[in-house]
Amino acid sequence: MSAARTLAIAIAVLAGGTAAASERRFALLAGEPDGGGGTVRLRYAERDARRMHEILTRVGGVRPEDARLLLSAGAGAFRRALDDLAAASAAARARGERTVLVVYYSGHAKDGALRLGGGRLPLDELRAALERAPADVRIGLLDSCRSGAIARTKGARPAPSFDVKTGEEGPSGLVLIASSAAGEDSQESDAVGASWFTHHLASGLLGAADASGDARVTLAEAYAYAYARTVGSTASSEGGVQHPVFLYALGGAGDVVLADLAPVSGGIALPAHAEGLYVILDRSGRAVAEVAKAGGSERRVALPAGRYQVKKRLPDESGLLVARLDVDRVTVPLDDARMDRVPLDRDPQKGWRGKRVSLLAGAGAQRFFSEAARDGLFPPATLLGAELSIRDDLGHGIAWGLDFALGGGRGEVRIPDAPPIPVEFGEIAGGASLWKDWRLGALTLSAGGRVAVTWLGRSFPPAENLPPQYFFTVTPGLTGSAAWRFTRRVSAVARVRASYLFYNVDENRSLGFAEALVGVEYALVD
Amino acid sequence: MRSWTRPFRPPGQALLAKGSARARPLRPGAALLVAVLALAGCGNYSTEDLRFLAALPQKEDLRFAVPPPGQPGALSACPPANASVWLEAKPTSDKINAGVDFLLALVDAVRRLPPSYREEDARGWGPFDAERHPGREVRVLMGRSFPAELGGGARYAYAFEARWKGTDTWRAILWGAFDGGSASRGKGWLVLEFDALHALGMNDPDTPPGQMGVGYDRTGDPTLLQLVLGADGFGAVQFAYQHAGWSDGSGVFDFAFRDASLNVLYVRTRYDAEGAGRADVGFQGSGGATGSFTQCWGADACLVYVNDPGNFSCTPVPPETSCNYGLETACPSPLPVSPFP
Repeated sequence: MSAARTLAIAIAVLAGGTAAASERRFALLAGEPDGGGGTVRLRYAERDARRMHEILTRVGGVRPEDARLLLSAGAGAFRRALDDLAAASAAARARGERTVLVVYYSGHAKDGALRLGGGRLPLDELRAALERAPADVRIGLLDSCRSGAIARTKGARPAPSFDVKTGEEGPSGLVLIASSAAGEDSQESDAVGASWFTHHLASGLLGAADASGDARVTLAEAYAYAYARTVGSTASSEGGVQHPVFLYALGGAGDVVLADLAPVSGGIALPAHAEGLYVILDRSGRAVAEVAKAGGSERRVALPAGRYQVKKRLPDESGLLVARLDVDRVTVPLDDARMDRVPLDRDPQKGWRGKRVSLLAGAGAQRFFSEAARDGLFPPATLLGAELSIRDDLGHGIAWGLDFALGGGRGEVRIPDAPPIPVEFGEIAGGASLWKDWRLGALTLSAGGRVAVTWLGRSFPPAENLPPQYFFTVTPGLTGSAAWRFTRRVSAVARVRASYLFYNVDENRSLGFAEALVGVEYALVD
Repeated sequence: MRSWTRPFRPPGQALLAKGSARARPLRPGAALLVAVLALAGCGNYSTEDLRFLAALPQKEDLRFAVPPPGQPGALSACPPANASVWLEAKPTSDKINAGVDFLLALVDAVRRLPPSYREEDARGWGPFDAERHPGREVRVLMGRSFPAELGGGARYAYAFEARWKGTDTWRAILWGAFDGGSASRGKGWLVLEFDALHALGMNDPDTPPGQMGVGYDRTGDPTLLQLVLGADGFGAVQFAYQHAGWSDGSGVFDFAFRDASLNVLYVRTRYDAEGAGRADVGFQGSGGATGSFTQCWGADACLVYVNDPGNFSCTPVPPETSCNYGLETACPSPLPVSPFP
């Protein structure tokens, strides 16, 4: 059965799907980056869990008090949380409520067990716990290597979708979904900042999987979408293609609605004629949803309020369409015609965040390399500086800026056979810089060139009865800096410049000087 | 004895004729770079300017630093009298210093301005309007050389010239030379042309005619200062004033003054660090008489010895019949030996 046909069937049964609003839902979400000995620490396991927690509590019908988010909490905490939720579910059922228990795990799995830090949770134990959990529907979502083993014994299979029975009764039973088959690795992606499977599952829950367009994402829809997208995303990866698997043992009829988007206001709406892969990024450039859309029906992605960028790669690979959207309480329509066409190197998912304007203020010092120049012409000076920077304006990682510095110092001019002459030295400089940024997490290294106009002046005590002097010239040079980003807007910056000065009053002389500046940078437009 | 030489004739354009003898040609690429950057570089930021300016004397370099005589309270109680000649030393030095100030007012005007002409071993200022004399303009020319006799040291020659605006002829009003790195540590001389100032109407009411020459040597201890006043002026009489000052405060001061009776006294003084000293005085009476006498005094400026065979320095009051007083052994000793011939 083709994926499209299976989806169509799934869509057809959605009318009989059980509304999340009539149920009490419980969720355990665990992110465990550390898998103990012999494993590499995962970069996105905790983010995966946080992301799923946010989605299930916002659109998944799980009350915040019914959700347990465990981050690097270990096997003991996992078991206790599962017991607590089982007890809560039992209590709800005793009150006559239907219950759904969702267990999500992102982390390592090896040798038939989940690896939670130093502890282990055998897959069989987890499966048994889910099978006996006092909930009408138990859903296990495992995003870990070889996690398909949890479903292997009872005929789990990698497939693009599963069939859903129709009938009068609501579903009940167990569903296990694993991110990869028993012999496969589950892969993380720096591009999306998540594991591939969770990324696509989350995108599906936000609306990308809503093939029926009824603003409800069922378990079948979510799985079908996550399967197709995960296989597609990993097909050419070094880690090999990754096939999600499922075990579907639901009795009754209808599907489980995992996400109900209708009550949630706000989001982005893709019109019916929109086609292609749309990636939605948050302010930090991380993908929060990815919508692979075919034409024919509108698709809405439910997003919390915030600023987002949406990118779509053009089919002919000639560029990207990008748009920046502010989402609040209303759904914002997105149309290709209103998106900006930009070159491929301005991919916001690869760090291109659009033009960013920031202001740097700091203090530092200036010093000429030549001792003779320091003694006879330009003594060391203390500087106060400010710089306006525009990043990613001319290209990805390319920035330019305008700077201004004011400084001064005191020293002595030494001339032969004469007593030293006290001097007060002043400097005013304004420059324009062009540089390249390299972002390494919170650290950004930069290097580039700068051209400045520099005014240097000195005056002498009244007793010396000497005229003030000045020199004005162009000083080209190199600039480099290291910036550590503390918050989205605030960074600490250390900047060093080496500049050339051609002095031509007494003689033609090439001089060099260095300036070091330490300051704080604040992003005005981000 | 140290002395100074006059290394050049009265100056003018010749000062600036040297050009940039030490300029080096640039390679084409470097020349292009220099040309581009030189277009952007401008200013007067010159340490060499400071060297030129340092060669021009300032007030403290040309000041006759004669100590004030004793304490005023002590003077009234002097037995038999105070040192009348020594008491004239300070007022006379003040008058001479006033003449020097007149000279240096011209120099200071230049020090406040950056050069308007600059070569490797030459600087020029102006022409600029004479501040106190509308209609006249001044220029300053300064050259530098490194004669062998100075062992690599610099010699500066300079001339201040003035003229009526709109005319062609510049007249030197001040010219001089200096050896060393700084006027406060070198030696030099200069000539102030009073006649030129009069001709240009740039004189003060008490500006004398003729010339005033000043020589100074501040290379060691003592510092030497000579001022030759070619005619009476600034309240001082025509004379070659000389001063040697040691770092301990002792000194030699040769001066002349006209007393209340219009007699002119020519005085050679030597004094120690406390101000006690000796004066050998020659006089020319207003009536034509000439003679000499000697006075010694203590630190309180009271006479301790007088040898005045002609009774010129006092009018004896009976029963005294002579101005002579005390013994020569009462004179302070040792006293500095004059470095002047």
